This record gives sequence, structure tokens and C-alpha cells, in this order.
Amino acid sequence: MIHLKSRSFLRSGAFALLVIGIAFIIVFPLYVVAKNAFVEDPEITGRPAWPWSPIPKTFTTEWVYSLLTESKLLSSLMLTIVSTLLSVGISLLLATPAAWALVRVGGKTKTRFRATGFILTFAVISRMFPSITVGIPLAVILVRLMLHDTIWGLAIGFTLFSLPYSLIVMKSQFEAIPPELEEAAMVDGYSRFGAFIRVTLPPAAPGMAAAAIFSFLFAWGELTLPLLITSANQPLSVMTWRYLRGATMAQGSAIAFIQLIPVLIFTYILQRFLKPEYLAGAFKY
Amino acid sequence: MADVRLVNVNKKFGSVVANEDVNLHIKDAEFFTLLGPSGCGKTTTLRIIAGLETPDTGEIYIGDRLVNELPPGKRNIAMVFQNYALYPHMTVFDNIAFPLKVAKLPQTEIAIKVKWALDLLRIEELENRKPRQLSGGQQQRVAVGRAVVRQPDAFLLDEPLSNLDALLRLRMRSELKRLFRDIKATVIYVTHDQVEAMTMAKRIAVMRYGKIEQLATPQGIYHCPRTRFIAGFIGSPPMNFLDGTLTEKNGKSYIDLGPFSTEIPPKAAELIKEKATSSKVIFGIRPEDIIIQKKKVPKQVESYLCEVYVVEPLGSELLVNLNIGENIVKVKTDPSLDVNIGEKIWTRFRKDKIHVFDSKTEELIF
Repeated sequence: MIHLKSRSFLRSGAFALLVIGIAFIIVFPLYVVAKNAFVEDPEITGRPAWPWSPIPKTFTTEWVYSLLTESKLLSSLMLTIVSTLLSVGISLLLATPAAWALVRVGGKTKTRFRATGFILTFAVISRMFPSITVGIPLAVILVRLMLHDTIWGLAIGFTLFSLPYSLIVMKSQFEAIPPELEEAAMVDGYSRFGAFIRVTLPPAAPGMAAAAIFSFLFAWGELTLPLLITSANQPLSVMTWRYLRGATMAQGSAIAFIQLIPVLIFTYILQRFLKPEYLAGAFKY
Repeated sequence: MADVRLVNVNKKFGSVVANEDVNLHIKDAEFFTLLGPSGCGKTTTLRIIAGLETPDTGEIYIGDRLVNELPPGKRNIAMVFQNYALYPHMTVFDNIAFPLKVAKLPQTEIAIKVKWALDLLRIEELENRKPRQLSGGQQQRVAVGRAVVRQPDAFLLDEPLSNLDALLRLRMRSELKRLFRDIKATVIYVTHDQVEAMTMAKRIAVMRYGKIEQLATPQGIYHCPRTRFIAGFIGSPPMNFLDGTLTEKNGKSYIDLGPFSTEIPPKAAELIKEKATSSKVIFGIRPEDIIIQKKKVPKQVESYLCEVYVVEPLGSELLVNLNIGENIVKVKTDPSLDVNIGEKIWTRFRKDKIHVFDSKTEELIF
């Protein structure tokens, strides 16, 4: 008994160490960026003190403040947030019902599996080329549609790239939910659509959250596509790219820090849906 | 509660025939079982009644209503799924209240009905738990609770016990039987387990290849199986079969089983001559209808000396496997009999319990 206990203690201890290690690797660079955004310049570019200390010695809001006031950064930030959220919304709105149809329509027949594979291949093709090959024709189309250099144009562009991924994520999500759940709700009095909304979607929350986070991160960081489909109204990624040429390390850290905040807020809100036990107890094999 | 009728229901999935000319009349307050091996179409029949599948042709009536065009939710039926299909994001109370909420019943009425169902299934203390916090047996009760609470016209149960462990299955079997009798429910119960079908049902429809092969009471199916398939499916262990040929000697009729011949009643011989496609037949006898003893049987009683292949003690009874020619025949006997492998033992058949099937059509002749 003692033997068993000490072994499980050792194992959970090792596991905790591993988690701390991984967390450190992920969090440390973020910390350095955040720190450098708020310290005086010499502390960044000067010779590092020995022993190196993670605690900042100076503090200034100069870099962040000047960025937020002097440049067009604020309007660019707003443009990025709105177009990104729009593309996340459109992507989920299209991918969710499409993935449901791919998984459910046609039952467990061979025809359905073949058709699903075919459609998925097509959906993923746009992701098989670098953004620039898709971006140039897209720019032409957007100009004709008078959507070039607009929020909607950006949102459509981002969606083009995040949709296939969302589709694949949502497809695996719906495959994990047994059709009986919907059927039970239909027998209990709901229409097919009502059953989908009330009974299938809630357990699909982890998949939707994962797809949303991916779509968000993609749109947030994408540079090539906005370079091609915007001119006057440029999102944060393009701004950053222009700004970084000739910026100091401190200014760079400041703009990186500003980019970091919305991402952290968004993923923090959604991460609570990323729980595998959403489906637990629904069914038994 | 209401009766359920299926008239000439046909359903194909691609080239696979799931239901062929299924005609059923399940009476009001009857416990009816659809029994058959997997892939026989029994679940399809149930899903057609539920409205989850659309039949290619045929009509479905629940009570006096033709329900072909009605969606599942409008048919006033309740279904229990093999995997329970509990709503994972709702508590036990909300799971059971779900169909009532959909029907927009007033809150107070919902509370009363759910309490009644929780009480009926003895799971009051679980009402605030989520499905993942329940054991398999408890999940099963919640699934039944969600069905019972609606007081529907009919209950459709799809292998509800097959995911429970053996002991719990035994208990739920009797509990469900009693529960559905107490609320005078029309129940259509799908199972591949012949013991469940025999113990629970008032009538059984045995299905195979999408067709109903026999529809009768459990006793009727046991004693008069319409085909060799049914005889070999029902009973544990099922019926023994031996290939035989009809012969006649001194005005008496026999079936030649190879090592020996057994006399059959004149009526059986008549029926074989009249109905069988040839003189080759399949002789069938249930394990409990073979009598074995070590003491020599008086000469005037027909008996044969058979070698014991293996002995399987079950506690309350003893299964003795005998070599008869190439075949092994199982005999159910008293556990006090002391026999060993290789021993020779006197064997005779209960003459009123023998069955004869046609060798080609495999249908019951006698």
C-alpha cells in the first residue's frame, strides 16, 4: 500500500515538474516581451547585468503611450479586432452546419464517406498553397466587388483561410457526438434543427472553441494576405511590419505587447470551453 | 397507451434489405419483443416506428393515427437507446424534464412529474447530478426515466440492457418488466438476447434477413419453432440437430440417424411424406428432452448406448455432451449423475418432444 502510494506520489511529482517546465518555455518569452515594453531603453540594449534578474529595475509607459497616441495604431487595432472577430464568426457560422452535414447526412453509408472525403479535399486545397497565390486573385476579385481595403474584404480573406481548418475541427467534433443524442431530442419533441441547437451544439463547445481560437490567431497574425488586399486601412500585422523597420527593441516590445493583450483576452475567454468532459456520461459503449 | 400497427413495411439501405413486408400488430399494454441476430432489421423496424427512418413503402399506425408523415416528436412515443443518449450538459432532473419542457408544460406540473419518475426508478437522490457522475446502472435508469415521464402512447426500447454488466442486467430485466406492467405500457423491445426476450415479452417476433420468421408467445416459440434457425437460436443451450433419413420397417416409421434409428409416431411419418422435399430430414431435440442413465434400460424401451464426450457441471444442472456419430449432442440432466469422459451411457429421447425439419427449407414439419 505504502509502496503504491509513494510511486503514485513520485509520478504526480514528475508530472507537475513537466507541466511547470512546459509552461515556463511558453510563458517566458511572453514575459520578456511584456517586461521590455515597460523598461527604460538601457536596460534592454545595454550589457546584461550579471547575475541576470527577471525583475525589471526601471519602469516607463513611454513606449506604449507614444504608440497609442502618435500613430494610426489605434484605428489599425480596431480594424484588426473587428475584421478578425467577423472572420471568426463567419467561419464558425459556415463550418458548423457544413461539418454537421458532412458527418450526419447519408448515415453510415459508403457513399457518404466518399462524398465527405471529396468535399474535404476540396475545402483543404486552398490551404495547400502559400497565401500569396490565393491572395493575388482574391485581391482582384475584391477590387471588382468594391470590397478591397475594407473590413469586410479583410474578414472574407481571413475566412477563406480559417474555414477549411474550422471545417476539419468541427467534423471530428461531430463525429465524437453520437447521432442518438439528436435522435433522442427529436423523439422528445424537437425538430431536427431544434435538436441540433439544443442538444448537439452544447457538447460541441470544445470543438467550436478550438476552431474559433485557431481562426482568431490566424487572422490576427496574417501578414501576406492583408498586404495584398488592403492599402489605406491596414491591420495591425501590416502596421507592425512597417513600424518594426527602424524601431528600437523597446518600441518593438511595446507593439508586440499591444498585440498580445487581445489574443490573451480572447483565448482566456474561450479556453474554459476546451474541456474534454463535455461529452462524458452522455452515452455508453 | 395505444396499439401500434405496421402494414407491409419495406425498407432498403442501398441493396441491403432491412425490412421486407413487415406486418405487426402490437396490442395496447403489450410487452412485445423484436428478437434476432445483429443485422436482422429489428432496430430498423423500431426506428421506422419512431420516425427516425422513413419506410420505402408501408404504413405505420399508432392508435388510430397514421403516423407516416409525422416527425418523431409528434408521434407521442418515447425511446430508450442502447447507449442511453443522455444529454451530457444537463442534470438528471433536466434530462428527465426535457421532453416535458419541449411540450411547454407548466413548471409546477413538470416538477411533479419528474419527481414521480425519479421516485418510480428510485433515483431521487441523483436529481442534481450530471450524467458523467452516474454509474452505468444509474444512467440506464435516467434514460428510462426520461421515457416514462412523458406517459407516451408506446415505449420503444433498443437493447436497453446490453451495456450493463451481467448481474445488473439480471436485476434490471425483472425491474423493467414489472415497471412497464405497473404503468400498463405498450412496449416494443428490441434485443438479440433470447433470454431477455423469453423472460420479458408477452409475444416475440423473431426476425431474420429483414423478415419476421415467427411471431408467437415465448412458449409457442420454444415448443414450436417454425424453422431450424429459430430452434437453434432459442434456449440455452439451443436445440440439438441431427441429419436423418426417413425409413420404414415392419410397418413402423423410423428416422435413421446414422449410428442408430429412432422410431417416430405415425403422424410424423405422414407429415414428412406429405410436406418434406425429400426423405432427408433434420431431427431436432432439446437438451432437456434427452434422458440418460447408467443403468441398462429395459429391452422394450428404445435406447442407445452413447459415449460421453465432455461433462459441463452448472451447479443446478449438468450438461453432458454425447457423441452421436459425427455430431455432439448436449443433454441437460440432474447434477447428481456421476459420469466421466469416455463412459458409455444409455440414452433415449422423449418421444413427444421430438422435432423434424425439412433439410432444404429448414421449416418445421413435425
